[in-house]
Parts: sequence; C-alpha cells; structure tokens
Amino acid sequence: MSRPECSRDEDILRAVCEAHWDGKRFDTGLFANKGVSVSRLAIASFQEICTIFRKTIKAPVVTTAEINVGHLQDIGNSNVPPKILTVEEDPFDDNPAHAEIPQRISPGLAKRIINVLKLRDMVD
Amino acid sequence: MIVATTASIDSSTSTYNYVADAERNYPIFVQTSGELDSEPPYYILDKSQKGHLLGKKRELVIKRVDELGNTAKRVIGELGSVRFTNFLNYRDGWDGGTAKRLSYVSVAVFESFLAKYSDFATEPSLFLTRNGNLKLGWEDASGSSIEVEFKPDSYSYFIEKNNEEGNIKYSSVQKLTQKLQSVENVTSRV
Repeated sequence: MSRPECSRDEDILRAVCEAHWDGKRFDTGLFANKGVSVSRLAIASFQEICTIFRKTIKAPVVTTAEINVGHLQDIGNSNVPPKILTVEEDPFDDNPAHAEIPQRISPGLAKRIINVLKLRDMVD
Repeated sequence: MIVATTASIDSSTSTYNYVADAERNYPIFVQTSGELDSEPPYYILDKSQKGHLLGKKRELVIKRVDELGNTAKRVIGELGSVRFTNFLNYRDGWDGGTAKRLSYVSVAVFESFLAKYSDFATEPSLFLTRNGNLKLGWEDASGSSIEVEFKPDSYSYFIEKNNEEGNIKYSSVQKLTQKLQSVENVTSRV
C-alpha cells in the first residue's frame, strides 16, 4: 500500500550524526542510500524534532540539515539522468513527523543535495 | 570451529586468508605465507583482547583491530583517530534505525588498504556507514570529492570528478589504487 507523498511546499529535516560529518566534510552517505529518514517540519516544530532526535538516535547528533521537498525534487530532476525523488509519510509512534525518501540516491546526487542543505544547530 | 572462507588479502610480501570463527563470531586474518609483518594491517582480537596464536607452525602477528596502526593514525590525523575511538562505542541501531556497529573486518580492510595507498592530496575524513563500515572522504587536487568505503569483501568508491561509483574486490585493489592515483595525480606507494 503506497504512502502519501509530502507536498513540495514542505520542509524536512535530516539528523546529521557524528558518523556523517567531522566538521570538515559530509559523508555522501547522509543521503546516498535507499530509504533515507527525514522528519517533517509541517508535523512537528524544529524544537520538537530535536527532542525526538535526542530520544531516538543513540549516536551523537551534531547538527541538523534542512531542505525543501520541492528543492530536493528539482535537484533530482536536474540530475543526469534525471531522478524522480519523493518524500513519503512514514510516521512512527516515537516520531509522528517521520518520513522517508524511498528511492536510492547515488553519491553524486547526494553530493549535490548536501551542497544546498541549510544547517541548523540542535536546540534544547 | 574455524570455517575458512574464500576471501584473501595479498600484500606485497604476504598472503592473508580471512576466516570466520563461527564460535567467537570474530573475523580473523591468518597469515599463511611470506615474512611476518610487524606493521599493520590485519588482525584479530579475542575476548580477552590479548590476541592469540593460530596455527601450529607459524607464530602469527596478532594485532588488535580496535586500535589503529601508525599509518592509519597518520593518514586520518588526530581528529580521525578520535572519531575512530568514538565509533568503537557505537552499537547496532546507532542511527535510530538499522545501522550496524563498526565491523572489525572493515577495520582490517581499511588498514590493509592504507598499507598500499596512503599518500592523499588532502587529509581524509573518517566516516562510519550505516552498514558498519569505515569510509574515507577527501578531495583531489581540483577540489572534487573522492570516497572509499571499506566493505568486508570489497572496496566501494565514488569519484566525483568522473561522476563514477563502483565496487572493486580485494584481489583487485591495485585497480582502485591506480584509479585513485590517476585522479589525484600523486605518487602512491603501490
């Protein structure tokens, strides 16, 4: 059963763990994967999502990365070859804002996505 | 019971066979030919963390895989060494999902690779993938990204300059080092 897709207008957050970023570089694996987890700012506030990240992610979350769904999709569409990207609602009990990007993202495309991320420091 | 697998690592002077110890569930690299190495790469730990002898005729070089060798420390620097130590403490599910803890086989493969290729254009960053593998990321002389993930049976790479990604088996590591050399345009030890 297919899951509803998030609107292009939505903004999503990705938790950036220590493993993905050393303060100098990002691992493209932050997005270069299949089934990347994100959280929807339309469902929970930034502060609430930070709290969820702290509770559900065991590794240190060093920062968060925000991107607009439409922007993400435009980057996919402009890839060579074009890649259709969707963000699908996937709420969990402990994270009602959870969503997933079901497509496999290549490292090259991930690098382009990472280049436009807006980093937001975690808040208490 | 020790169950041999087909994987092996060849250095310039020695051959190492990877075996899986079914009882301990640890990866073990057994040196089966060549002069004994005193420097990395490869090997073993047991529950006592003391290392132990494998085989009857040959005293193996036993090295803890939870400590990096000098070459690896030099390559990844102080920050990378600290991150490696941090990664050792991660457990399965560290990302809140299905991420695996650090694979000791990946550590062995990582050190094996650095024994062959360690002259990077820029100091690489050390990452841990959700499959539990170590990964290096750096830039070539033109500033384009290069990444190599150290999988239990192969190397996975990404070369941004060529928009190229792929997977290379252990036994073909020289293909990877040559590819990296051509991109980085630096002299490596291979």
